[in-house]
Amino acid sequence: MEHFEIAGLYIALNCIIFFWLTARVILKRRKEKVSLGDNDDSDLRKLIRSHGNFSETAPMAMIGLLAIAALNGVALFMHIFGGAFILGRLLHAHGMMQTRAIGTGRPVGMMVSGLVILGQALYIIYLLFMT
Amino acid sequence: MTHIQIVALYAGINLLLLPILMFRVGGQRLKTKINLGDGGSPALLQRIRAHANFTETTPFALIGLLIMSMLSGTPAWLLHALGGGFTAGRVLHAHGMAQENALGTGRTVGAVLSLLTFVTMGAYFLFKAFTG
Repeated sequence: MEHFEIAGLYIALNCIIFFWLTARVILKRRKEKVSLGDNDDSDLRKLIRSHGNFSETAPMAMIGLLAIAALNGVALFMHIFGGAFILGRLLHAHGMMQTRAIGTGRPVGMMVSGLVILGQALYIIYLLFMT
Repeated sequence: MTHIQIVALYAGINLLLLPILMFRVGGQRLKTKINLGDGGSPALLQRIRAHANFTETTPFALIGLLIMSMLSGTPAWLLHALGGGFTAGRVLHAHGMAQENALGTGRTVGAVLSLLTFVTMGAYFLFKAFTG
């Protein structure tokens, strides 16, 4: 796979997750007839924040992947970053749905997402200034 | 530095800022045991909004910078000015948000720098779109 194809693969997978998280909020809103906010419905709030947290992390992680592709980084690293990020987001989404939104998946997923983004940042700076 | 390397530079710095803001929220959640929302805690709300404002602006700025680097004739200094100005603005904004009542000067200055970045990019893209 070419570098930009690898980036494309993980962007596509993230788009599917994004679609799924968005659809869940929409269906719940229709069911509960809540058109704005969460109306203090804790299930709706969990779904909103699952989607919200995803949309607060995925764009930056995918921009990082594109930057690594453009800088000709190692393809294996792109798979590790991209794959770990997807895994982290699935764990986070799972953890958010547990009682009081504190399933183990949530902190683990957050840790994985944060470390992927941090790792990408350091790798980009390495590619820029140390190769 | 090539154009795409300049974009990667500012993407890299911003990618470093994001986990700092993320883990500040996570840390405060563990400390206050508030799992969802801000639970009425101003300190938690400040951190949530510092992180949220970053994620509400940075992807747009970096995508803008990426488009800018692809347009022919874009000077490198303009990429540095917008990428650097925006990035400095995000650091200032995060600092200002951490002050009392979230009202540090950095917040205002940072927000203005972000807006200037967007307006400049928007105007430049439209100019390039119609003049080639």
